[in-house]
Amino acid sequence: MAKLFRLFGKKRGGRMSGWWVVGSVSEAAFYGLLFILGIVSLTTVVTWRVFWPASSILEIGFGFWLMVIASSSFVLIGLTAFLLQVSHVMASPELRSAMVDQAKRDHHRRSKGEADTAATSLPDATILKDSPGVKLAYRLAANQGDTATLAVSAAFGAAWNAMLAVLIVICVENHLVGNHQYFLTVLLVPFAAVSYFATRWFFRLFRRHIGVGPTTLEISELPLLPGNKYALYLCQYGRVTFEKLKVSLACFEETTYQQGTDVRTERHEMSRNVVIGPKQFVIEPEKPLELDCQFTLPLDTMHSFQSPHNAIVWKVIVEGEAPRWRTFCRSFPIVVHPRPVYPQPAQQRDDVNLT
Amino acid sequence: MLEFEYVVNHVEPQSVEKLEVSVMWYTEGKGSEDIGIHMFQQVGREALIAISLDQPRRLSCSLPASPLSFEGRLLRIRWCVRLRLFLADGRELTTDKPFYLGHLTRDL
Repeated sequence: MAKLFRLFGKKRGGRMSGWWVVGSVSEAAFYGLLFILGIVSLTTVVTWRVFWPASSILEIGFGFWLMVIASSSFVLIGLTAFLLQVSHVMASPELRSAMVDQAKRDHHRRSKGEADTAATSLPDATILKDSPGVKLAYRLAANQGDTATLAVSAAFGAAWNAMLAVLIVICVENHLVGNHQYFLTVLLVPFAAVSYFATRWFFRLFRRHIGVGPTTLEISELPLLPGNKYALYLCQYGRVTFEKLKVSLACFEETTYQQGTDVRTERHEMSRNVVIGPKQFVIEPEKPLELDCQFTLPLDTMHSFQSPHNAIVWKVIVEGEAPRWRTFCRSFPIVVHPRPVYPQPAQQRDDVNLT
Repeated sequence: MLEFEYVVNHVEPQSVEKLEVSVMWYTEGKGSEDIGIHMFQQVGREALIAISLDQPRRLSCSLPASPLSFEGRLLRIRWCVRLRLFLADGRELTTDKPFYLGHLTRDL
Protein backbone atom coordinates (compact mmCIF):
# COMPACT_ATOMS: atom_id res chain seq x y z
CA MET A 1 0.00 0.00 0.00
CA ALA A 2 2.88 2.31 0.81
CA LYS A 3 4.06 2.01 -2.78
CA LEU A 4 0.88 3.77 -3.90
CA PHE A 5 2.11 6.99 -2.32
CA ARG A 6 5.73 6.65 -3.42
CA LEU A 7 5.63 9.30 -6.12
CA PHE A 8 9.36 9.74 -6.41
CA GLY A 9 11.46 6.88 -7.74
CA LYS A 10 15.10 6.15 -7.18
CA LYS A 11 17.44 4.69 -9.73
CA ARG A 12 18.78 1.36 -8.50
CA GLY A 13 21.29 0.07 -11.02
CA GLY A 14 19.47 -0.47 -14.26
CA ARG A 15 15.98 -0.07 -12.82
CA MET A 16 13.87 2.49 -10.98
CA SER A 17 12.27 1.92 -7.60
CA GLY A 18 8.74 3.08 -6.83
CA TRP A 19 5.60 2.67 -8.87
CA TRP A 20 6.02 4.68 -12.04
CA VAL A 21 2.29 4.39 -12.86
CA VAL A 22 1.42 6.70 -9.97
CA GLY A 23 4.24 9.04 -10.92
CA SER A 24 3.16 9.30 -14.55
CA VAL A 25 -0.52 9.81 -13.73
CA SER A 26 0.33 12.40 -11.07
CA GLU A 27 2.62 14.27 -13.43
CA ALA A 28 -0.07 14.36 -16.12
CA ALA A 29 -2.66 15.49 -13.55
CA PHE A 30 -0.34 18.24 -12.27
CA TYR A 31 0.30 19.70 -15.72
CA GLY A 32 -3.38 19.34 -16.59
CA LEU A 33 -4.27 21.37 -13.50
CA LEU A 34 -1.62 23.96 -14.36
CA PHE A 35 -3.19 24.31 -17.81
CA ILE A 36 -6.67 24.76 -16.31
CA LEU A 37 -5.32 27.29 -13.79
CA GLY A 38 -3.72 29.26 -16.61
CA ILE A 39 -6.95 29.26 -18.62
CA VAL A 40 -8.99 30.41 -15.61
CA SER A 41 -6.64 33.23 -14.67
CA LEU A 42 -6.14 34.41 -18.26
CA THR A 43 -9.88 34.43 -18.92
CA THR A 44 -10.51 36.29 -15.67
CA VAL A 45 -7.99 39.00 -16.46
CA VAL A 46 -8.99 39.49 -20.10
CA THR A 47 -12.77 39.30 -19.72
CA TRP A 48 -12.71 41.69 -16.74
CA ARG A 49 -11.10 44.33 -18.94
CA VAL A 50 -13.42 43.60 -21.88
CA PHE A 51 -16.76 43.57 -20.03
CA TRP A 52 -16.02 46.07 -17.28
CA PRO A 53 -13.51 48.57 -18.68
CA ALA A 54 -14.47 51.19 -16.12
CA SER A 55 -13.60 48.95 -13.17
CA SER A 56 -10.59 49.93 -11.10
CA ILE A 57 -9.67 46.28 -10.52
CA LEU A 58 -7.06 44.87 -12.90
CA GLU A 59 -6.43 48.14 -14.69
CA ILE A 60 -4.15 47.97 -17.70
CA GLY A 61 -0.64 48.47 -16.47
CA PHE A 62 2.34 46.53 -15.18
CA GLY A 63 0.24 44.24 -12.97
CA PHE A 64 -2.23 43.51 -15.76
CA TRP A 65 0.43 42.53 -18.27
CA LEU A 66 2.29 40.53 -15.63
CA MET A 67 -0.89 38.55 -14.99
CA VAL A 68 -1.42 38.00 -18.74
CA ILE A 69 2.15 36.79 -19.27
CA ALA A 70 2.09 34.55 -16.19
CA SER A 71 -1.27 33.05 -17.11
CA SER A 72 -0.19 32.48 -20.73
CA SER A 73 2.96 30.74 -19.55
CA PHE A 74 0.85 28.51 -17.30
CA VAL A 75 -1.31 27.59 -20.30
CA LEU A 76 1.69 26.91 -22.55
CA ILE A 77 3.74 25.00 -20.01
CA GLY A 78 0.76 23.03 -18.74
CA LEU A 79 -0.52 22.05 -22.17
CA THR A 80 2.93 21.23 -23.60
CA ALA A 81 3.99 19.13 -20.63
CA PHE A 82 0.60 17.42 -20.50
CA LEU A 83 0.76 16.47 -24.17
CA LEU A 84 4.42 15.41 -23.84
CA GLN A 85 3.51 13.19 -20.91
CA VAL A 86 0.75 11.59 -22.96
CA SER A 87 3.05 11.18 -25.97
CA HIS A 88 5.67 9.48 -23.77
CA VAL A 89 3.10 6.82 -22.98
CA MET A 90 1.99 6.47 -26.58
CA ALA A 91 5.44 5.90 -28.06
CA SER A 92 8.71 4.69 -26.61
CA PRO A 93 11.81 6.90 -26.81
CA GLU A 94 13.28 4.61 -29.47
CA LEU A 95 10.16 4.86 -31.61
CA ARG A 96 9.98 8.64 -31.22
CA SER A 97 13.62 8.88 -32.14
CA ALA A 98 13.04 6.67 -35.19
CA MET A 99 10.07 8.82 -36.23
CA VAL A 100 12.15 11.98 -35.94
CA ASP A 101 14.93 10.38 -37.99
CA GLN A 102 12.42 9.26 -40.59
CA ALA A 103 10.93 12.75 -40.80
CA LYS A 104 14.41 14.20 -41.25
CA ARG A 105 15.22 11.72 -44.02
CA ASP A 106 11.89 12.39 -45.78
CA HIS A 107 12.49 16.12 -45.60
CA HIS A 108 16.00 15.64 -46.94
CA ARG A 109 14.73 13.51 -49.84
CA ARG A 110 11.96 15.98 -50.70
CA SER A 111 14.33 18.92 -50.57
CA LYS A 112 16.59 17.11 -53.05
CA GLY A 113 13.62 16.42 -55.33
CA GLU A 114 14.16 12.70 -55.54
CA ALA A 115 11.23 10.62 -56.76
CA ASP A 116 9.74 7.83 -54.71
CA THR A 117 10.48 4.25 -55.59
CA ALA A 118 8.40 2.58 -58.31
CA ALA A 119 4.87 1.60 -57.37
CA THR A 120 4.55 -2.04 -56.36
CA SER A 121 1.88 -4.24 -54.85
CA LEU A 122 4.23 -5.19 -52.01
CA PRO A 123 4.23 -2.91 -48.98
CA ASP A 124 7.48 -1.13 -48.27
CA ALA A 125 9.49 -2.96 -45.61
CA THR A 126 12.15 -0.28 -45.20
CA ILE A 127 9.97 1.65 -42.73
CA LEU A 128 9.87 -1.41 -40.48
CA LYS A 129 13.65 -1.69 -40.63
CA ASP A 130 14.24 1.78 -39.22
CA SER A 131 14.48 0.68 -35.63
CA PRO A 132 17.25 -1.79 -34.76
CA GLY A 133 16.60 -4.23 -31.95
CA VAL A 134 18.62 -4.95 -28.82
CA LYS A 135 18.63 -8.75 -29.07
CA LEU A 136 17.47 -9.32 -32.64
CA ALA A 137 17.92 -7.41 -35.87
CA TYR A 138 14.76 -5.29 -35.93
CA ARG A 139 12.44 -3.79 -33.36
CA LEU A 140 8.85 -3.81 -34.61
CA ALA A 141 6.72 -0.71 -34.27
CA ALA A 142 3.29 -1.10 -32.68
CA ASN A 143 0.19 -0.23 -34.62
CA GLN A 144 -0.78 3.38 -33.97
CA GLY A 145 -4.45 2.40 -33.66
CA ASP A 146 -3.78 1.24 -30.09
CA THR A 147 -2.92 4.75 -28.94
CA ALA A 148 -5.37 6.69 -31.10
CA THR A 149 -8.15 6.42 -28.48
CA LEU A 150 -5.83 7.79 -25.81
CA ALA A 151 -4.86 10.73 -28.03
CA VAL A 152 -8.50 11.49 -28.82
CA SER A 153 -9.52 11.31 -25.16
CA ALA A 154 -6.62 13.62 -24.19
CA ALA A 155 -7.47 16.19 -26.87
CA PHE A 156 -11.20 16.09 -26.11
CA GLY A 157 -10.68 16.27 -22.35
CA ALA A 158 -8.29 19.23 -22.63
CA ALA A 159 -10.56 21.15 -25.03
CA TRP A 160 -13.74 20.51 -23.05
CA ASN A 161 -12.18 21.43 -19.70
CA ALA A 162 -10.74 24.61 -21.18
CA MET A 163 -14.17 25.59 -22.48
CA LEU A 164 -15.77 24.79 -19.13
CA ALA A 165 -13.17 26.85 -17.31
CA VAL A 166 -13.90 29.86 -19.53
CA LEU A 167 -17.65 29.52 -18.96
CA ILE A 168 -17.20 29.20 -15.19
CA VAL A 169 -15.11 32.35 -15.07
CA ILE A 170 -17.68 34.31 -17.08
CA CYS A 171 -20.51 32.97 -14.92
CA VAL A 172 -18.77 33.80 -11.62
CA GLU A 173 -17.83 37.28 -12.81
CA ASN A 174 -21.42 37.97 -13.81
CA HIS A 175 -22.69 36.84 -10.42
CA LEU A 176 -20.10 39.00 -8.65
CA VAL A 177 -21.22 42.15 -10.42
CA GLY A 178 -24.88 41.37 -9.80
CA ASN A 179 -25.73 40.26 -13.33
CA HIS A 180 -27.21 36.87 -12.47
CA GLN A 181 -27.32 34.68 -15.59
CA TYR A 182 -29.21 31.64 -14.36
CA PHE A 183 -29.40 29.95 -17.77
CA LEU A 184 -25.61 29.94 -18.02
CA THR A 185 -25.35 28.72 -14.43
CA VAL A 186 -27.72 25.81 -15.08
CA LEU A 187 -25.95 25.05 -18.34
CA LEU A 188 -22.72 24.59 -16.43
CA VAL A 189 -24.13 21.51 -14.67
CA PRO A 190 -24.39 19.23 -17.77
CA PHE A 191 -21.16 20.74 -19.08
CA ALA A 192 -19.45 19.85 -15.81
CA ALA A 193 -20.88 16.33 -16.01
CA VAL A 194 -19.46 15.89 -19.52
CA SER A 195 -16.16 17.26 -18.25
CA TYR A 196 -16.17 14.77 -15.37
CA PHE A 197 -16.84 11.79 -17.64
CA ALA A 198 -14.32 12.98 -20.27
CA THR A 199 -11.62 13.38 -17.62
CA ARG A 200 -12.45 10.02 -16.08
CA TRP A 201 -12.38 8.42 -19.52
CA PHE A 202 -8.93 9.85 -20.23
CA PHE A 203 -7.43 8.85 -16.90
CA ARG A 204 -8.85 5.32 -17.16
CA LEU A 205 -7.27 4.88 -20.58
CA PHE A 206 -4.06 6.53 -19.44
CA ARG A 207 -3.81 4.37 -16.30
CA ARG A 208 -4.60 1.24 -18.25
CA HIS A 209 -2.06 2.12 -20.91
CA ILE A 210 0.79 2.73 -18.52
CA GLY A 211 -0.36 0.01 -16.13
CA VAL A 212 0.12 -2.79 -18.60
CA GLY A 213 3.38 -1.20 -19.67
CA PRO A 214 5.04 -0.98 -23.07
CA THR A 215 5.52 -4.06 -25.21
CA THR A 216 8.71 -4.52 -27.16
CA LEU A 217 8.86 -7.02 -29.98
CA GLU A 218 11.96 -7.83 -32.02
CA ILE A 219 12.37 -10.06 -35.04
CA SER A 220 15.44 -11.61 -36.63
CA GLU A 221 14.72 -10.69 -40.25
CA LEU A 222 12.52 -8.53 -42.46
CA PRO A 223 10.76 -9.03 -44.83
CA LEU A 224 9.66 -12.58 -44.09
CA LEU A 225 9.67 -15.34 -46.69
CA PRO A 226 7.36 -18.39 -46.62
CA GLY A 227 9.09 -21.57 -45.48
CA ASN A 228 11.83 -19.76 -43.55
CA LYS A 229 12.45 -19.88 -39.82
CA TYR A 230 12.54 -16.68 -37.77
CA ALA A 231 13.30 -15.73 -34.18
CA LEU A 232 11.02 -13.51 -32.13
CA TYR A 233 11.80 -11.75 -28.86
CA LEU A 234 9.09 -10.30 -26.63
CA CYS A 235 9.72 -7.97 -23.71
CA GLN A 236 6.71 -6.88 -21.65
CA TYR A 237 7.10 -4.22 -18.98
CA GLY A 238 4.73 -3.20 -16.21
CA ARG A 239 3.34 -4.65 -13.00
CA VAL A 240 0.69 -7.08 -14.03
CA THR A 241 -0.36 -10.70 -13.69
CA PHE A 242 -1.51 -12.14 -16.99
CA GLU A 243 -3.98 -14.97 -16.71
CA LYS A 244 -3.29 -15.58 -20.37
CA LEU A 245 -0.62 -14.11 -22.59
CA LYS A 246 -0.50 -15.14 -26.19
CA VAL A 247 1.59 -14.12 -29.20
CA SER A 248 0.27 -15.06 -32.61
CA LEU A 249 1.00 -14.43 -36.24
CA ALA A 250 -2.13 -13.35 -38.09
CA CYS A 251 -3.03 -12.52 -41.66
CA PHE A 252 -5.95 -10.28 -42.60
CA GLU A 253 -7.74 -9.36 -45.79
CA GLU A 254 -8.68 -5.68 -45.82
CA THR A 255 -10.91 -4.13 -48.40
CA THR A 256 -12.34 -0.66 -48.89
CA TYR A 257 -15.56 -0.03 -50.74
CA GLN A 258 -18.21 2.58 -51.20
CA GLN A 259 -21.66 2.02 -49.75
CA GLY A 260 -23.84 4.89 -50.88
CA THR A 261 -21.96 7.99 -49.90
CA ASP A 262 -19.98 6.19 -47.20
CA VAL A 263 -16.59 4.63 -47.63
CA ARG A 264 -16.37 1.42 -45.61
CA THR A 265 -13.46 -0.83 -44.75
CA GLU A 266 -13.96 -4.50 -43.99
CA ARG A 267 -11.46 -6.90 -42.51
CA HIS A 268 -11.39 -10.67 -42.41
CA GLU A 269 -8.91 -12.81 -40.54
CA MET A 270 -7.52 -15.40 -42.93
CA SER A 271 -5.17 -17.28 -40.65
CA ARG A 272 -3.73 -17.18 -37.16
CA ASN A 273 -0.79 -19.22 -35.90
CA VAL A 274 -0.08 -19.15 -32.18
CA VAL A 275 3.63 -18.62 -31.57
CA ILE A 276 3.69 -18.30 -27.76
CA GLY A 277 1.15 -19.38 -25.14
CA PRO A 278 -1.47 -18.95 -23.97
CA LYS A 279 0.34 -19.08 -20.63
CA GLN A 280 0.12 -17.39 -17.27
CA PHE A 281 2.83 -14.85 -16.45
CA VAL A 282 3.53 -12.54 -13.52
CA ILE A 283 5.47 -9.40 -14.39
CA GLU A 284 7.19 -7.12 -11.89
CA PRO A 285 8.46 -3.63 -12.76
CA GLU A 286 11.95 -4.66 -11.64
CA LYS A 287 11.94 -7.69 -13.89
CA PRO A 288 10.15 -7.40 -17.22
CA LEU A 289 8.90 -10.52 -18.94
CA GLU A 290 11.31 -11.68 -21.66
CA LEU A 291 10.36 -14.46 -24.06
CA ASP A 292 12.30 -15.93 -26.96
CA CYS A 293 10.77 -18.16 -29.56
CA GLN A 294 11.15 -19.36 -33.12
CA PHE A 295 8.53 -19.91 -35.75
CA THR A 296 8.38 -21.08 -39.34
CA LEU A 297 6.19 -19.34 -41.85
CA PRO A 298 4.14 -21.95 -43.76
CA LEU A 299 5.07 -22.49 -47.39
CA ASP A 300 1.53 -21.98 -48.69
CA THR A 301 1.34 -18.50 -47.17
CA MET A 302 0.03 -15.56 -49.12
CA HIS A 303 2.40 -12.62 -49.15
CA SER A 304 1.57 -9.06 -48.06
CA PHE A 305 -0.28 -7.08 -50.67
CA GLN A 306 -1.13 -3.40 -50.95
CA SER A 307 -3.24 -1.68 -53.58
CA PRO A 308 -5.39 1.45 -53.35
CA HIS A 309 -8.54 -0.36 -52.14
CA ASN A 310 -7.40 -3.81 -51.11
CA ALA A 311 -4.71 -5.20 -48.87
CA ILE A 312 -3.40 -8.37 -47.30
CA VAL A 313 -1.84 -7.48 -43.99
CA TRP A 314 0.39 -9.55 -41.71
CA LYS A 315 0.70 -8.76 -38.02
CA VAL A 316 2.25 -10.16 -34.88
CA ILE A 317 -0.45 -9.85 -32.24
CA VAL A 318 0.24 -9.82 -28.50
CA GLU A 319 -2.90 -10.48 -26.47
CA GLY A 320 -3.28 -10.69 -22.73
CA GLU A 321 -5.92 -11.11 -20.11
CA ALA A 322 -5.23 -9.51 -16.76
CA PRO A 323 -7.88 -9.22 -14.04
CA ARG A 324 -6.77 -5.73 -13.03
CA TRP A 325 -6.32 -4.15 -16.47
CA ARG A 326 -8.83 -6.26 -18.39
CA THR A 327 -7.81 -7.54 -21.80
CA PHE A 328 -5.24 -5.84 -23.94
CA CYS A 329 -4.17 -6.39 -27.52
CA ARG A 330 -1.23 -4.87 -29.34
CA SER A 331 -0.40 -5.53 -32.94
CA PHE A 332 2.88 -5.15 -34.79
CA PRO A 333 2.72 -5.04 -38.60
CA ILE A 334 5.23 -7.10 -40.55
CA VAL A 335 5.78 -7.64 -44.26
CA VAL A 336 5.81 -11.04 -45.96
CA HIS A 337 7.30 -11.27 -49.43
CA PRO A 338 6.62 -14.09 -51.90
CA ARG A 339 9.19 -16.81 -52.12
CA PRO A 340 10.98 -16.65 -55.47
CA VAL A 341 10.25 -19.97 -57.21
CA TYR A 342 12.56 -19.30 -60.11
CA PRO A 343 15.50 -16.96 -60.74
CA GLN A 344 14.16 -13.47 -61.10
CA PRO A 345 15.15 -11.45 -64.15
CA ALA A 346 16.91 -8.19 -63.58
CA GLN A 347 13.94 -6.27 -64.98
CA GLN A 348 10.89 -7.02 -62.85
CA ARG A 349 8.33 -5.10 -64.88
CA ASP A 350 8.18 -5.11 -68.66
CA ASP A 351 8.23 -1.69 -70.19
CA VAL A 352 5.08 -0.26 -71.64
CA ASN A 353 5.35 -0.65 -75.36
CA LEU A 354 3.52 1.66 -77.73
CA THR A 355 3.82 1.04 -81.44
CA MET B 1 8.18 -16.54 -68.45
CA LEU B 2 4.77 -16.24 -70.09
CA GLU B 3 4.41 -16.93 -73.81
CA PHE B 4 1.13 -16.49 -75.60
CA GLU B 5 -0.28 -15.78 -79.04
CA TYR B 6 -3.44 -14.11 -80.21
CA VAL B 7 -5.49 -14.14 -83.38
CA VAL B 8 -8.25 -11.74 -84.41
CA ASN B 9 -10.77 -13.32 -86.76
CA HIS B 10 -13.74 -11.96 -88.70
CA VAL B 11 -12.61 -8.34 -88.37
CA GLU B 12 -11.31 -6.23 -91.23
CA PRO B 13 -8.03 -4.48 -90.40
CA GLN B 14 -9.47 -1.25 -91.85
CA SER B 15 -12.30 -1.29 -89.31
CA VAL B 16 -9.91 -1.44 -86.33
CA GLU B 17 -8.66 1.84 -84.93
CA LYS B 18 -6.16 0.33 -82.55
CA LEU B 19 -5.47 -2.79 -80.52
CA GLU B 20 -4.17 -3.17 -76.99
CA VAL B 21 -2.66 -6.24 -75.36
CA SER B 22 -2.04 -6.24 -71.62
CA VAL B 23 -0.69 -8.72 -69.13
CA MET B 24 -2.22 -7.60 -65.89
CA TRP B 25 -3.57 -8.46 -62.47
CA TYR B 26 -6.84 -7.19 -61.06
CA THR B 27 -8.73 -7.58 -57.83
CA GLU B 28 -12.24 -8.93 -57.44
CA GLY B 29 -14.47 -9.13 -54.43
CA LYS B 30 -16.23 -6.84 -52.03
CA GLY B 31 -13.89 -3.91 -52.41
CA SER B 32 -13.36 -1.52 -55.27
CA GLU B 33 -11.37 -3.04 -58.10
CA ASP B 34 -7.66 -2.34 -58.42
CA ILE B 35 -5.53 -3.25 -61.39
CA GLY B 36 -1.83 -3.50 -62.07
CA ILE B 37 -0.43 -3.61 -65.59
CA HIS B 38 2.65 -5.74 -66.00
CA MET B 39 3.02 -5.57 -69.76
CA PHE B 40 1.24 -3.29 -72.18
CA GLN B 41 1.43 -3.17 -75.95
CA GLN B 42 -0.54 -0.89 -78.23
CA VAL B 43 -0.76 -1.38 -81.98
CA GLY B 44 -1.92 1.62 -84.01
CA ARG B 45 -4.00 1.75 -87.22
CA GLU B 46 -1.04 1.95 -89.60
CA ALA B 47 0.68 -1.03 -88.03
CA LEU B 48 -2.55 -3.01 -88.08
CA ILE B 49 -3.03 -2.44 -91.80
CA ALA B 50 0.52 -3.63 -92.44
CA ILE B 51 0.01 -6.91 -90.61
CA SER B 52 -2.49 -9.66 -91.08
CA LEU B 53 -4.81 -9.88 -88.08
CA ASP B 54 -5.86 -13.47 -88.69
CA GLN B 55 -2.28 -14.68 -88.39
CA PRO B 56 -1.17 -15.60 -84.87
CA ARG B 57 1.02 -13.02 -83.17
CA ARG B 58 3.31 -14.39 -80.50
CA LEU B 59 4.28 -12.36 -77.44
CA SER B 60 6.22 -13.17 -74.31
CA CYS B 61 7.11 -11.50 -71.05
CA SER B 62 8.78 -12.44 -67.82
CA LEU B 63 6.28 -12.56 -64.96
CA PRO B 64 6.97 -10.89 -61.63
CA ALA B 65 7.16 -12.66 -58.28
CA SER B 66 4.07 -10.85 -57.00
CA PRO B 67 1.20 -10.48 -56.58
CA LEU B 68 0.39 -14.17 -56.67
CA SER B 69 -3.05 -15.35 -57.74
CA PHE B 70 -5.17 -15.50 -54.62
CA GLU B 71 -8.66 -16.63 -53.58
CA GLY B 72 -9.84 -15.04 -50.35
CA ARG B 73 -13.20 -14.33 -48.82
CA LEU B 74 -13.18 -10.58 -49.40
CA LEU B 75 -10.52 -10.34 -52.04
CA ARG B 76 -9.41 -12.27 -55.09
CA ILE B 77 -6.35 -11.48 -57.17
CA ARG B 78 -6.50 -12.64 -60.75
CA TRP B 79 -4.02 -12.51 -63.58
CA CYS B 80 -5.03 -12.36 -67.23
CA VAL B 81 -3.99 -11.41 -70.72
CA ARG B 82 -6.45 -8.78 -71.93
CA LEU B 83 -6.99 -7.94 -75.57
CA ARG B 84 -8.94 -4.80 -76.35
CA LEU B 85 -9.97 -3.82 -79.85
CA PHE B 86 -11.03 -0.26 -80.60
CA LEU B 87 -13.22 -0.27 -83.71
CA ALA B 88 -13.50 2.65 -86.08
CA ASP B 89 -17.23 3.05 -85.30
CA GLY B 90 -16.44 3.70 -81.62
CA ARG B 91 -17.16 0.23 -80.24
CA GLU B 92 -14.77 -1.68 -78.05
CA LEU B 93 -14.29 -5.43 -77.96
CA THR B 94 -12.55 -6.90 -74.96
CA THR B 95 -11.55 -10.42 -74.16
CA ASP B 96 -9.65 -11.82 -71.18
CA LYS B 97 -7.64 -15.00 -70.94
CA PRO B 98 -7.04 -15.73 -67.25
CA PHE B 99 -3.99 -17.58 -66.04
CA TYR B 100 -2.64 -18.55 -62.74
CA LEU B 101 0.49 -17.17 -61.08
CA GLY B 102 1.98 -18.93 -58.09
CA HIS B 103 1.09 -21.94 -56.02
CA LEU B 104 -1.52 -20.70 -53.55
CA THR B 105 -4.79 -21.39 -55.38
CA ARG B 106 -5.85 -24.13 -57.71
CA ASP B 107 -9.24 -22.91 -58.78
CA LEU B 108 -9.62 -20.50 -61.69
